[in-house]
Amino acid sequence: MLKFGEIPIMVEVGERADRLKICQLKKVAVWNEVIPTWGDSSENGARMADKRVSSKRRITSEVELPSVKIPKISNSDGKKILNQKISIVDSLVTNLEDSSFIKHSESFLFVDWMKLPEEIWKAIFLWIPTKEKVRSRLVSKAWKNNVDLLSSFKVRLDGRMGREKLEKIREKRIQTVELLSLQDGFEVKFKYPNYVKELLVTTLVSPANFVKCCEMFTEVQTLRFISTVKSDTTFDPRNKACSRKALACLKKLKEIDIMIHSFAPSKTLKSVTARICCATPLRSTLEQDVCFSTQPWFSELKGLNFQSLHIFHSQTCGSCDLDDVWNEILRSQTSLLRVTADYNDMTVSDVFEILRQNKSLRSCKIYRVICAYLFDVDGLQALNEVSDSLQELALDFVNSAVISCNPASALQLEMKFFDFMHLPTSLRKLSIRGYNLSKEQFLTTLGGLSYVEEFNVGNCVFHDASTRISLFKEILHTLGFDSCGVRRFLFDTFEIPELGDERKKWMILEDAALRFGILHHQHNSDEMDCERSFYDFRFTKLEIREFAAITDRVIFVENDICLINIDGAGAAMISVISGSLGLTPPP
Amino acid sequence: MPVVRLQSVDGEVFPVDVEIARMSFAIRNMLDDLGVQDNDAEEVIPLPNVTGPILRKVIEWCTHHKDDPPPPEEDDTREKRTDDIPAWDQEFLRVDQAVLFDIILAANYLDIKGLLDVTCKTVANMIKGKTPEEIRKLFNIKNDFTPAEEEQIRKENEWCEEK
Repeated sequence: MLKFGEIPIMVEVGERADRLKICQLKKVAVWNEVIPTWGDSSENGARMADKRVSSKRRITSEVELPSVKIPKISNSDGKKILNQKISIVDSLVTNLEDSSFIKHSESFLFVDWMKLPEEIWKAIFLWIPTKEKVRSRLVSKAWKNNVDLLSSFKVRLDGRMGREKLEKIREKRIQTVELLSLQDGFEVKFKYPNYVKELLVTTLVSPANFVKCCEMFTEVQTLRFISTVKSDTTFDPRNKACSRKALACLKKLKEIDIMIHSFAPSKTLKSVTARICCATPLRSTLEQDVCFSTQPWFSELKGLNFQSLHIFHSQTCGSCDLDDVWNEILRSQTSLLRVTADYNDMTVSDVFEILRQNKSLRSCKIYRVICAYLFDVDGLQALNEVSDSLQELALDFVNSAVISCNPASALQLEMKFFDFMHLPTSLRKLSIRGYNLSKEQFLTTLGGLSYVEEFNVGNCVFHDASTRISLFKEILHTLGFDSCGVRRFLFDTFEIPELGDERKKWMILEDAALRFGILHHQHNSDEMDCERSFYDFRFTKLEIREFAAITDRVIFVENDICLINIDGAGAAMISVISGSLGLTPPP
Repeated sequence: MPVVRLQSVDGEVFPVDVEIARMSFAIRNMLDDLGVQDNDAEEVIPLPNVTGPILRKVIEWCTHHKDDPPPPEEDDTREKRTDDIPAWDQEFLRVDQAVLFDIILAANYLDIKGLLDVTCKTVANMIKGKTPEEIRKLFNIKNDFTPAEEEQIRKENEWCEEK
């Protein structure tokens, strides 16, 4: 296929000088299908381009041309043959033109998809599951090269792994390497170490091995440590694993993730997850004298110019001196752009003080910070403070909000909480977690979300089971969100536990789906509303197979997503996500 | 509504609302770099890599999506779904492979993320669920592996099939 701006010359008709090229042709092919008239600026041309044409253009006739050698062109016989040849071609082209066939020669060519730029193939492969990508390596050499070059593979470098397995993975272009149980003196040579972009450390790695890995994978952009209490010295600089010497090898490093999961002696899970992301440029800011002395391993990272920061720890965690670190970073990093926190140990005023200090802050997750602090303070007081501060800060750039709240506090908040919802007109995604809402509150809220396109009601506790069911039906039936902008609707932990009868449960869902189908049908005449017919429902703790067993509308099940074709209306879709989301909201 | 004139490689000129033209980051940058004001209606922006019919298609897509919110930022953790292509886009992209190919290139050249996303998803949907042989047929690709090479690749792919 051609690149833009290149005009292929397959057949030329015109000036006599150009016609000389014709003598090099051996065949002229004629297709039996209408092919768009490229370059035709008329309406007809555009229609032709739009016209659906089979991708398989079959050659229905080929005309053999008598061979002629150019040097003999001056020979009278040669001229005769040449003229015959030109005549044949002229005739063919005339016929083609007369029958509105092909005017421009590029239409003769098949599309050579392999000539798409790499970045486009990468974008295409992004949407194809790894297994399918790998299997497709058998298509052709060029295809295989594309897959290998553009796919991201992950490998565990496990010291306990047999030599044979390591040999097998060595040929792949691996982008993520997980280090596991490496013994001192391990030796693995990668064929393409420069393709490794992510290094994941999940167990204790000796300083020597860590340095060795950093020296080998110098193009690593993300360094990720995940640790439990048993191996929490993994990134503790006291063992010098995460030393500056090692980090200095990683010249492309953009991000460091540190996640700590600690287990109390009682074996009650307590988790502390600190995630620090530091974005570029590392090198230019190493000289800055910013010291996070409260945590020894943070001090190793001093001077890194964080642009985004995520700190998470669970509510059950006891005293944790991450607070100081968090404060320290927030106060000292003038270039901080994004902040995310699920956190309960600071006051709201502290948060806003920090926000005021960081004028450059541009985060879609600021709400998370704000709302997380509602946990520990009196609901109404916090609400007022948040509302006032939001107005004062004019955070009209916020486009995504996660409002999470302890249900006990939420009882006091009631509708007042939503008074400030009109403030961020830029809001496109809203997620409410842990609220106890009445049906009226819920629907009122829904009606007020003029700008929100995705509404996620996670862990919401409605008053009783009948409310839940009727609410669900009512949402579908009356569609409070039809009048607002919501297009994507997610229920994270919407449960119908009291019914007991699984089949009945599914029937409700199916009924709901049918109602959705009817809605779609009503809007079918309006083209602009077509895309509004794609709504998602997410259910947890529901089994897809059960659902599939009672309805014939399941068209396929893939990756836990069940797509259901509603009533022939076509576009309505329900996604049922199986499996548990866990007890805590995902970060 | 201020208008800008876009000229395709074959000389066709399309008057387009500035707001719509600016959905292309390439055009947006050109306008900004050239200091073209909203009322410079006579200014012609040459697009040497896009033919008239394809440019017409691109403008049609942009016009339909002009009120869409900006596409979300890249997020590796985002669910990778290809079944959410809006019905209008599905119909819009039900075209010959050659046209689809050129629209992809145009979207890439003009830097229109939304259009590039939806066209790439469309191609991904064409590939998904197909065997190598079916992919070859679909895209008219010749199998240029020797039997020995094919065997070697099958061996290389084994790791993916292992549970």
